[in-house]
This record gives sequence, C-alpha cells and structure tokens, in this order.
Amino acid sequence: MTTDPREIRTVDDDGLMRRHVGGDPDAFGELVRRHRDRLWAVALRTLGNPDDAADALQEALINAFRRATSYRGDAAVTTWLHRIVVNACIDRVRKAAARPANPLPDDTGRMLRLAAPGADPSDAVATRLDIEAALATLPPDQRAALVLVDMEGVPVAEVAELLGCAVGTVKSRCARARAKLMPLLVPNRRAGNRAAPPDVPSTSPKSELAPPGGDPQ
Amino acid sequence: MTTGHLEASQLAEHAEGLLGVDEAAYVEAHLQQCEICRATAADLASVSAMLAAAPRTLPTPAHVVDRLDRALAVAAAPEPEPARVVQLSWFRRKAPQLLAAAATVGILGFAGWVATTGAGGDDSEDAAEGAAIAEPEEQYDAGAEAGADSERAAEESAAAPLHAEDGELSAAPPELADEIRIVVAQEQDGDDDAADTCGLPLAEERGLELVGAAATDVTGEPAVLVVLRSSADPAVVYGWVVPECDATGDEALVTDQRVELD
Repeated sequence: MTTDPREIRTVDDDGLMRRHVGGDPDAFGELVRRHRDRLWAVALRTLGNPDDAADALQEALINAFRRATSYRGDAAVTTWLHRIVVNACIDRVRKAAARPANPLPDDTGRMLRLAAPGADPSDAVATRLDIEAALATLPPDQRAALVLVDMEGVPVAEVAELLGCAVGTVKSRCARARAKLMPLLVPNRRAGNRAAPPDVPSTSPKSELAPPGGDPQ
Repeated sequence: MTTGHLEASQLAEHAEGLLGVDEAAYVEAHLQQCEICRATAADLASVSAMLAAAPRTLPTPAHVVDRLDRALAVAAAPEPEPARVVQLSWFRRKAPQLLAAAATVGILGFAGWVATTGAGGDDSEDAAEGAAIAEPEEQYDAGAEAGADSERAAEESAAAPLHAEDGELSAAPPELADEIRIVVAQEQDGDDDAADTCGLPLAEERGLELVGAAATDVTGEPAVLVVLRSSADPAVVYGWVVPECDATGDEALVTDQRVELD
C-alpha cells in the first residue's frame, strides 16, 4: 500500500500512529519529520554535544518505532516521543555521571574558551553566548537537571526520578548550573572579576517565573 | 574575588531554599543592604527566564536528518523493489517449512510442542510425520515439490531446536542473515537499553540471551525479528521472526535461523 506523500501530511499525529501500527511504512517518518526539530532541541541541550544528541535521538526514535504498539493514546504523540527522547538522553547522562572525573573544573575562563572558541576570555566586553554553547560548558548532570527543569518545564520531583537522585540534589544541580551560566548568558557580567554595573540592565528580562521549586522562606 | 559579596552559587542555592536556617538568614540580611548582590540575584533569576524563553525547536542538522532517515529505513525494512523480490522468493522457498512447522504445533498440540522444544526424543519423528500428513491448506505457490519439501522441512523444523546449538541446521538465508547482523550491530553500537524488552518473552522461553529485535517484513507482512545469542558459542546468534514483541516460540513465523558472527 503506498501513500500519497501530500495526503499523509494532512493526517493528524494520532492518525499517523494508527497507520504506523497498521503497517503504513511512511507514517512514522512523517511523525519524525514533524517533530524532529523539537526533539533535536531537547537532545542537544540535554547532552551538550551534537554527536551524543544524534546518537540519543536515533536510539530513541528506533525505540519509539518498535514500541509504537505500547502507545496508548493517553498522552499526545508529541509528549510520548518527547518522553522517549528524554529517557534516552538521561540514560546517557547517568552513564556519563557514573564515569569518574568531571572533565570541567569550575573555571569560568575555561568555560568561556570552550563555549566560544576563538573568543579571548580576557576581553572584558560582555559576550552573550548562545544558550546551547553555554549549556555545553556544564557538567552533564547539572546540564540535564537544568534543561529539564528550566527549559522543558518538567517538575523537579519527576526530574529527580528520571535522574535517580533526591529532589534536593536536582535543586542543587540547577542552582550551581544557573550560577555558572549567569556570566555566560547575562550581558555585562563576569563572575567575580567585576561588579554589576550600578544600574542593573533594565533589558534583562524580569523573571516572571520564580526559580522552580524554590519556596521563599 | 570580591570579598564582602555573596557568591552567585550561594544566592542560587538560597533561591532554591537549599541553605540552612542560619545561612539563609545571613543571606537575607545581606541582600537587604547590598544592591550589588540583589542585582546578582536578579541576574540569576533571569538565567532561568532566558532558558524558559528559548525557542522550543532547533533546526536539526542535515547530516543528522540523513542519519535518522537511514536508521528508520532499516528499522522499517522498506521495500525497494529488488530487495522485496529477494525476500519474497526466500519466503516462498521457506513457506512449506513454516506452514509445516505451524501445522506440527497446531495439530499435534502438546506433542508437537514437546517435539519442537526438544523434550520429546522419539516424538519428534511422529511430529514430523504428523506435519507431513497435515497438508497446509493455504499453499503459497510453492510448486509441485511442496509436499516433499514440507516433509523434509517439517523434519528439519521439528528437529532444529533439538540441535540448535550444534550449528548444523538452519543456517539463515543471506537476506535474513543480513537483517540479523544489522540487529547485532545496532545493539553493539548503542548502549544497552534496559527498557528494550522486545523479544524478551521468547528469549526467556528459549533460555537464551536476547541480543535485540527489529521490525522486519521478511515474511511479507510486518513482524519482529528477534535475535538470540547461542549459549554455547557467543559468536553464534539465532534469528526468530515473531508477529510481535511479546510473542513466544509457538507463535514464531521463522525459527532458529543461525548466523555466525565474524
């Protein structure tokens, strides 16, 4: 049975899942085409480098392809795919964390060099790095916690379960990660080597979100 | 390092409510009177806000798109015309054996099952005869020698599991062997995925290690290729084609296709 490539684009996600389970060879590919960029963003940000992200995404999609019959329709297809990709990424993070020796010391100069090759870290002009490059400088466990909590909006308790650690550990990883990202992402700020300018940059977005999980005492 | 101001990490932990009572009180008191540290705290909060506001998608690089497409094509075992012809012709050759094996199990029930699982000694001959007598009804266009084939094949299939470990029987045809090798290679490449339980019921039933599983249409319809590792020789694997991940041996469409890995 062949499918008209234009026709398949009009089918909704649930319909594509049903077709895939029913043996339509094009249905899953169309699902991937639709949601790939979203899933890629999650994988790249969580893992911090494109090679690992591609590995994890491939593994996750093959997994999803094979386990399509386990999709019960109780969540959106995108949510289901997202979860499978997050799990594949977390698997890798946990394995990386099990390895000894954190390769990145807490050294802002080194972080900057890694994040923006060619940039001179002594250059005092504020360099706003792109978010992915900044995330890439974090240790894997901190990065995964922060991406899931701050970018993916996954509740802290769920992240703790995914990462196999305590809620407090997730919060602590997020806190340390935010402190490390601040000099990379916030203009006019370098950790330690200069004070904030007298007038706080009014362009910096005022957080409407309280830092997740942080109950003000 | 400026002394007299709070560390960013301390402020970040304070925002998460992670500090002890005394330290939290100290930080609060300092924030009350220090504009610079208040600015740091605001910047920390803005990090979370920036992350939350980042685009939900990033363009997948072209080489990753290609790679995913290829991997999914393998998983889907799609039908480029020539490959399909090869696969179908392989299946036609094997069809009598498959049907006979099904008949063995179906008609002789438990006796057939005993024979195919190897507990049955002499029964296996009976099983093979039973299968030969029970001509499969829906013949594929397997040709005139189908009867003889199916008798021989039934013997083979009834006996195959008995001798599965000695390597004399059921060398997989090249097309299936290739698929089996792909499964093995993927499992070697990828990390072990504890959650990947496709084929596990079969592996447990056979008492063999599960190497991996993949979608296949080698039998002409969507099915699952399960690869099990020989307990005698880790360089030998067996491919089974079953209708779904949870299937066990009695639902198998193709059994014990032997492949030696290099």
